[in-house]
Amino acid sequence: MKPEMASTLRDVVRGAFARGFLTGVRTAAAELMDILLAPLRRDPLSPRRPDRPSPKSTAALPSLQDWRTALRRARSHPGYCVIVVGVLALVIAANTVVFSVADSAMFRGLPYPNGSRIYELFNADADGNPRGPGLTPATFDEWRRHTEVFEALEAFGIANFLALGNGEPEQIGGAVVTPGLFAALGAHPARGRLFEPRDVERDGGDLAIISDAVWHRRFGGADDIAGGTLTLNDRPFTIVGVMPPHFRFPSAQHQVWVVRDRRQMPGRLQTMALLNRGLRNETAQERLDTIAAALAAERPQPQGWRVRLMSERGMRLNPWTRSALQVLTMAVLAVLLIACANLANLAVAQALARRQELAIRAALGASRWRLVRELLAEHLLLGAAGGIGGLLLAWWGVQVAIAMAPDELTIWTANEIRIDGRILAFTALITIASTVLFGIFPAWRASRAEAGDALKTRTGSGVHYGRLRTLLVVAEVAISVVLLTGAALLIRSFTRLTHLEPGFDPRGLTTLSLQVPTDRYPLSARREYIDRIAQTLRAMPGVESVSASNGIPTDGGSIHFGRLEVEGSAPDGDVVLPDAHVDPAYFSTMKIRLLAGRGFTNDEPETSAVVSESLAQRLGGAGALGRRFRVEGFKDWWTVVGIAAEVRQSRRLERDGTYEMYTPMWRRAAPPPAPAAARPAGGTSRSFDWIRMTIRTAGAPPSVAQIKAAVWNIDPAQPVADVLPVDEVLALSLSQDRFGAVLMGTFAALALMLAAAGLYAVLAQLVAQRRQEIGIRIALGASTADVARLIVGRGIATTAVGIAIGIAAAWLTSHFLANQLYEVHPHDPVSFATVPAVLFVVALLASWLPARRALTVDPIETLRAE
Amino acid sequence: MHLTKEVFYVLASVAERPRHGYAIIQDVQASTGDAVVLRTGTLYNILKRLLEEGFIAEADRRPADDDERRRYYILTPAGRELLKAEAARLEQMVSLARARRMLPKGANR
Repeated sequence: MKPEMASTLRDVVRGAFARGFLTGVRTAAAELMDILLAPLRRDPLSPRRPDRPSPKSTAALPSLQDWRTALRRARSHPGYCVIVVGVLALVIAANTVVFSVADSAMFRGLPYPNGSRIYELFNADADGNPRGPGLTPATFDEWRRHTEVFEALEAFGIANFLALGNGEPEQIGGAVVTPGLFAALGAHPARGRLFEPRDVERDGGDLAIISDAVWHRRFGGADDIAGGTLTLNDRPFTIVGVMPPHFRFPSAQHQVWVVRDRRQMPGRLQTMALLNRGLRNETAQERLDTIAAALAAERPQPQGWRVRLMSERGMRLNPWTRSALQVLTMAVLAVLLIACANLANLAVAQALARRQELAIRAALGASRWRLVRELLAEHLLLGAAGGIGGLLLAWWGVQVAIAMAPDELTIWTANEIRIDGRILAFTALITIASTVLFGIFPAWRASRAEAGDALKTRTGSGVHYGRLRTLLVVAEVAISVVLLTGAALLIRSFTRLTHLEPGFDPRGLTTLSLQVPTDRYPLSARREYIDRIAQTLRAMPGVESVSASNGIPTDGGSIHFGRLEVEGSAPDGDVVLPDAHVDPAYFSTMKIRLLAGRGFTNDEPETSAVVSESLAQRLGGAGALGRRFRVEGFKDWWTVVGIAAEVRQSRRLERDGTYEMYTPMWRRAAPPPAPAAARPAGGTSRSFDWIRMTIRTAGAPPSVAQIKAAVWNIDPAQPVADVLPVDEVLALSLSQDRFGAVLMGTFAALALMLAAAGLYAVLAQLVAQRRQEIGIRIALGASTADVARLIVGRGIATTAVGIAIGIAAAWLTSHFLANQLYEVHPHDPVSFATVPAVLFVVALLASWLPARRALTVDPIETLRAE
Repeated sequence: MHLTKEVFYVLASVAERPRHGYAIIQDVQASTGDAVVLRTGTLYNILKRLLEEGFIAEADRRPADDDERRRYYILTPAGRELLKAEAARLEQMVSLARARRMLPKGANR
């Protein structure tokens, strides 16, 4: 019957998930409970069995009296309760925190009332990958006619604004949206109103909606905000509404929204589709395919391309972050499993200690069911306390996680990380699951005590339990080994990253970003403008030098992709080539050593390049100076004028090669067009040239306010952002690695602690059970060493089996971490050797304590007791 | 014998036509308007006992294109008697309730 039941179970759960995610989860949970509770099931054909005197006692849940007994008993052994509640609280908190992060980034739908019906419409190639930045206005209009699929089809474009008035000049990210977009999301304003179709039908001036943060930052949270004015890109916008604090569209980085008719949005449109109520994703996709087939005749698409619906869920996450989150989720679940194994172990020990009491009560006529119910009530009580404790801890833990997590997870998602009903439900679910896992099984086993059996031998041998508990410890050790190995790999990789020689001297360096509006300062005027700012900064006390560039290592700059072509030979080999545009002062300010040739002069031809040592090697070693090269597809050749020491531009690029090149900051030719997302939308967006100024100071750097004042002295409307020590920029670039290493390290430490406690408990129990035997051995002349060997040997043997299994499992699974690791192989011998050593030491300690107790056994006393 | 409602609905479900496990769950849920939702473990416990007692049997014929792990169950004559007896017992209770004017007379539903 087993495979048949499994297949039915699969059908049931699949069917439930087809009706909705929550229904699926609910059904799966109910099915799990049903299976776990199977031992307590009544016979369906004779539901009233003689050993159950009244129907009342067959109630599925413990009665009031059972709860009272449980409370009384819990109070009688507080140590056990504190351990159980504490362990549960810790692991439940860890799981809740990780789940709330993973959920916001990967599982959740869009955070709008209509979120489940909102999809992005995009062109996909034959493999289903998005192609191109969006739909053309003509295609958009065509799709919009299909009201049998869409309740609404709205468009938006990301835009950049320069905000003036009411506070500092500021570059704010935002979006240009069609009037119906927010209404389609189902969003509600906190103040004022949303955009309406009439806003674009007749000329009512420029209108904007602002975020809660902007409202507070620039308007001090004033009540009479609706009708107020905000100057964006030199045009006055009338504010019609303020969105509530947690509203994000499309991410927390976008805080101002202006309305435009879609015909005023040039370029491709990012499209949000609101599907009709009751229309499933697949059905809608089928209809889209049908419509597209009809359209294809008029406007042929590339082979295999189709218009696809994409739900937001985790789509914007980069694969690197996604796999980090998956690994952490698995790790934290493993910790939960270890904890359950440990608590089950403790619970069995507890039950074993009470075997006699239970047996006596059974002999006096208490039904087995009654006893199970009591034990169950006790565990449910402890579980509930652990769950509540875990939730309180998690509340704090989530704040820590948000502070530590990379922007990718906290800012660049549509969802905010916070504990809400959904997270509470998850916490409740794992609490119940773990309580059942650790509580019900021992309860059932203990209640099976045959009255006569337990009464006969005073010191029940408990051999059976012993084997089971040893197995649990082996499992705990094995899982700990896997987690510890993962943590060791991540920590080693992180240490390597923090100890990387950056190739320049970050101490005493301060950086700031200037977002220079390209229309206000066209290329011809920009150099003079930046030079003036640099002069002002250089005149500040303590400043040694100032340089301008389009980025600093780990943050900013541009990149070329393609095949490298050296003059005189054929293009060869793909390169990823970071290209920093720097002014003549850059190398001296950053203290990047020039190994050969020279740096840039003030009138440097734009075809000059300084290349890194590694690139120079590639270009012909010592003869590289004066050589010409280009990335295939470029018209112009670069000429090598200097060779610079290696600099770590970006650690993610390090994997593909360590080349760098520098080209002059100021060039006569127009810069390459900005990426599509930053392209002006409807004449309202503005393009900005992001210029990094780097200041080297001898002593303490000037304050943020002083730096800003110096810039505003030149142009009071110039936004200044990210005034930071360069050290901090470097640290921020490692935030994701730190996040992974810290969390994984914490989980592994927790696992190690739990495994050690489990081992200790088993051995302590062993000593307690074999007191007599030990006493006899000592009486017969066994030496201290013999006795210690008995106990410690058992501990080490158990650990060794666990380690062997764990190492094998870690060896097989560590490649999941490969893309998180920097210069550390997933089968790194150091990690794989350290972990077993650590575990052996811990196992020795955990076994030594019980062994010492065994040595204190007084042979006379134990023999007398017999 | 007094049947639990789950057992009653399982018998009633296979009485109509041979059904496999998942079909029984769906049928019971549909015919009771979601009032009775059988969990898989519960269902198979009931099926096991009903098979042991000979109230149901495994059907020897099955759709050719079906999942081979599925098994179809049919009512045995003994099962039919059991279901009838239970229905009669319930009928008796209902008619008593009707006689005492707890239910509208003659209304079947």
